Amino acid sequence: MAEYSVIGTSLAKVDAPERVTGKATYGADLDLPGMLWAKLVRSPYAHARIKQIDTSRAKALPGVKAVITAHDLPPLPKGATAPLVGEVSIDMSAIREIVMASDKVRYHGQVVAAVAATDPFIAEEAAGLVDVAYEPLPVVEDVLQAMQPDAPLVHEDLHTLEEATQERSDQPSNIATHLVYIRGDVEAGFQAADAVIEKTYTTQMVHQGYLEPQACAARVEPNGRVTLWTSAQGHFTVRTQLVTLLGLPASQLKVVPMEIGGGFGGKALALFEPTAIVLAQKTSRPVKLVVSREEVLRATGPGAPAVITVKAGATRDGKITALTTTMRYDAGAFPGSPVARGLLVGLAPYKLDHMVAEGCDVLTNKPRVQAYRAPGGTPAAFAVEALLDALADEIGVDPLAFRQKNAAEEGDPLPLGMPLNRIGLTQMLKQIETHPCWTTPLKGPHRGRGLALGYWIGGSFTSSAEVKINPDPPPPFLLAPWT
Amino acid sequence: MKQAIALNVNGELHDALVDSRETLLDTLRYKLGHMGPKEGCGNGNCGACTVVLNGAVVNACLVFAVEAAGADVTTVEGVAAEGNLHPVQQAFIEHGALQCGFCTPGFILSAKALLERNPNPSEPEIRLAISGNLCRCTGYDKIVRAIQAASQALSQTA
Repeated sequence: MAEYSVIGTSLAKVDAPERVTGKATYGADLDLPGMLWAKLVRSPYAHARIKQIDTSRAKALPGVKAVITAHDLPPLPKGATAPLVGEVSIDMSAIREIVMASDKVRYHGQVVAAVAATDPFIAEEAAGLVDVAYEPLPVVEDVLQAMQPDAPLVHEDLHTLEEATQERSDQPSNIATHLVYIRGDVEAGFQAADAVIEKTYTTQMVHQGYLEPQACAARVEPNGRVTLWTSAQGHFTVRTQLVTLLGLPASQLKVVPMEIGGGFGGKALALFEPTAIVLAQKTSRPVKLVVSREEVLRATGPGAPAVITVKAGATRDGKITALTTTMRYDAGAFPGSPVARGLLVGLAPYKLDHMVAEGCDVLTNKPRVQAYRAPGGTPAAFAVEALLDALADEIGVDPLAFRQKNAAEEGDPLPLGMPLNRIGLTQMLKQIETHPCWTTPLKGPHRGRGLALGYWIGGSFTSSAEVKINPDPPPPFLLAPWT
Repeated sequence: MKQAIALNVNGELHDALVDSRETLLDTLRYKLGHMGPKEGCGNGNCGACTVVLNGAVVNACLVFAVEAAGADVTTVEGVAAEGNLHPVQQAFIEHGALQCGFCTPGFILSAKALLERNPNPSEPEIRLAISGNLCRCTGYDKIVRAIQAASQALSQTA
């Protein structure tokens, strides 16, 4: 370490001084001259047809400058998608419906209208004066119930996509996508096993819990261009979505990233920015939209819950002979749960000669899930690791030895068939054998120790760097001025 | 209904015309321009809006502005005297006791108030003093270390 003066040393965060002094500017901290406050109108039903929206009482309230519904958003070309970097994808028609529902609401708290007013109290009062007539529909909120043929349909026109063949089912269904990855002969594998265990695990919806509720502000400049300030996880991603959703040329839209009070995956989609922009366009005044904690928890989109069945067999000496799993991920009201990711990362750490991995992306009347720290990985790892622990216990093999016996190595195929790069898993497990975390005797009651494997993919996106040398004293060298 | 109130914020006198349902937090942020205190929950759970009101550590989102009429208020903007960082602020920087920073203004005030009433707190006393402040980025341990370091720094200068 002494070899270097920089590498190996701890540096203070470059942006720490503004944070400890309260000077860091987050989305809600914008206070623009002439600014209006927006408030969203949300559905009190988890599933209902919107029969009529009457905005006249809200518009008549003094101080209210605009009230908008989904009809005020530009029409979206059918099948419009935006290339969305990140860990979960979504098609833009779903984003448009989450921004503002057009024909029916599919979860409790889905936005149906928005108001802009001169102060937040008036905006809130006006939101309560938007009269929406609903026709309530039967609700489906459980993944397994949603998969039944007679379940209420979250989307009447959605047919299951069979991922392998790219064909759609004849009947509409709440299963948006069905995936199957098969390797070897699982029946033969289970025949060769000395013990076989099957269990089903249910995990819950969990919210990212960022401390800062979503906040953004939009202003239409005199030349018609739009400036948007937002606390989001990637302003280029937000801009890409807005270009598609609002039909604005990218050259007409400037997205300014504000400090972000935590995101953890939950602030990658442009769910609030379109509303702020359309309200600013309608009123020709800057508009700020800040949601409340209640709105955050109720309707912003948590990490996906899942119901996962795992069955595995092993020989007495601890070798896995076959493994099957069915992972059913709850996407909420629009397709796109991270189930494919769950299948990949749940099984990646193991050598599996005989395997069937099946996944279902299932729709329910709940907020559309969003990314959350290794999206899809945690439910899958929990189920696979718990089942394998139970299997190791059944055959009387130590959990570490069991993992060592079955650990994947460089070149082994991932569930989709691609070979693993060098992952160092066997070396890591070898280190654990003698590590104090594993070897220190446990003392006292109610103490235990566990071991589980986890896997996550690496990724990289387009990036660039610019180095600029300023002539501060002492100059590293003289820059010749242009002549 | 609006009411005129006077507030002494960080040693500076202000008048404000406030709505009777307006919180002290909103007055500080949107009438007086002190954006340091944050609203994370609006119901007294997260502590991001922590300020010192007449010597007491409070959640500014739970105080009506009209209740604070005539009060002395310290926000995070008033912690660095004459532009010099307070030892608590310095320690938060040095110990990396922050990530997104949204909770930091609240923690700074809770910690500063603790050290003013108890210059040498034990670790449990520190943890109790910051129990009303939530940090989602998982920084409690570093925050505790930072407050311990600030306590030491203050005792050396005292």
